[in-house]
Amino acid sequence: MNPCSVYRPIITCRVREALVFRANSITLGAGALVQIFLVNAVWTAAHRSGTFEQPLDPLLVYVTLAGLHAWLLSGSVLPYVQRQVNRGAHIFEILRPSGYLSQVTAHQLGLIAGALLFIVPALPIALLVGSLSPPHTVSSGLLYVVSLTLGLGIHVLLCVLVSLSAFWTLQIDGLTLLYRIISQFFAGTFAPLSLFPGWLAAIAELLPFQATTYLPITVYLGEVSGTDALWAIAHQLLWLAALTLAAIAVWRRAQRRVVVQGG
Amino acid sequence: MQYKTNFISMTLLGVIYQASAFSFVAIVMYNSGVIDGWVFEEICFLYGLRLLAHALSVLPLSHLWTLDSMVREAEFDRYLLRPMSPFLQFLTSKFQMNAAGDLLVAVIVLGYAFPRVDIDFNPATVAYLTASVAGGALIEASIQVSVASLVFRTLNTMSFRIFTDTIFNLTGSYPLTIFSGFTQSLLIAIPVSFVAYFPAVVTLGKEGELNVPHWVAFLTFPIGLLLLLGAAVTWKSQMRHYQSSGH
Repeated sequence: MNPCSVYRPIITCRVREALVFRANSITLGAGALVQIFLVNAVWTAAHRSGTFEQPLDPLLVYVTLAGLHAWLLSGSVLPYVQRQVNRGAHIFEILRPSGYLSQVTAHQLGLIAGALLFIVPALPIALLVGSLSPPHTVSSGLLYVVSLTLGLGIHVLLCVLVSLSAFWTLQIDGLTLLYRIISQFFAGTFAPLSLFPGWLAAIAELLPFQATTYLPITVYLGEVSGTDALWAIAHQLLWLAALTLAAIAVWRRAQRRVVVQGG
Repeated sequence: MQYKTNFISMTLLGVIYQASAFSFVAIVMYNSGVIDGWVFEEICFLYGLRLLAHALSVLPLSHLWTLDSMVREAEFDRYLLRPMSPFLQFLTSKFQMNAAGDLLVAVIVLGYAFPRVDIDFNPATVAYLTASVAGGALIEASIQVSVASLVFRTLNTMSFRIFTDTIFNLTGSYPLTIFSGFTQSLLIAIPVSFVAYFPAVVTLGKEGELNVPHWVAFLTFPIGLLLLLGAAVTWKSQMRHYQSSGH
């Protein structure tokens, strides 16, 4: 059976869910916008009063865009997978002809699509509370789209991998929140990695999270251009390949551990 | 405390959560050194003060988060049948320690700041600080309870409560001066600024930067009491809308 046929219904379902539970989606967005507002205010104040060499405007665009990225990526399929595993309902999904990994990926993509639905109309507000500007050049903009797509792919794979942990430990409270905290921090959501202290930046560079935020946005701003931009994209492609292989390998092991409640 | 591992892991999660929020401030200060005349230690003091008030407000109220489902599923009835105040019954029926992580980080950050900032530690200052922390906790708690009491009408307050929590968390830990005039007035009115900012300004002797008359900055505790009263009234009036399973 064509695995692509499972994507549309699941993604549509998730988007509808985001619409139905409007209050949640809007609250999430409002919180993201307040965060963007605050981060802008803090950096602006720091810039006018402190010993800050970097130019302020690109930094504000960076944190505004980063805040929108964080909003886009805030949903995680992990609670869903955990719930299914707890109820033993995951067995039905595994038994379907379309691959289990495809289904979980579809759920995660659906969560992103659901967030995007609310982000687009909120862009004017983001402009108001933060700082947005067009990409540095047309090619920066195009490379940004490529880089962002790869970054989203990496994020989806990471979420799928984290979700598979549910097959080993039936219940880890707070793993979703923990993952979000760590991934947002090391992605450079509140500050570009270039402003991190050396040792922290070194750790961040070894991790895949920067691919979702720091890399695409620095491409957008033209801070990374030409061959450097192509290297960044190559870096992302490498992570994408590695995580895909990891997901397949982990799933193979997870399948052997399928334990249905009471069975 | 029966679920000891769970308690430890939830506390750890709380610590990590607060640490990551604080690390934003730390990174900003690492690059800049000062924000509107506030140096790192003073920012730590403000941040820790707010976090302490927040942790104290959350500690007794953690069961409040289950109020929504209790009302929806008509389980709230049992509190109405007993002679004791339904509110107190509800709060004391379960005690969750989720605020332990917040408290820990607050103590650590304040512990770092106290010896390093310029505070004149006399009995008056200590009394003022204690009253302010209590007042700040009352402010946050009262607002959460008031918002939560809307559940008797709307059946779902989770989103709004999280949003309120977000506003207090994000805007309460920074000097008011980083915001524009309009936002400053808004935050004073909510009243986020009374939770920690005004007490910090007074304690650190920064009254010079105040845009309000100096005596206003001393009002944290009275405002906390006033809001407590308001929350009690709101709760009582909203509870009349409880329809149990008859929706």
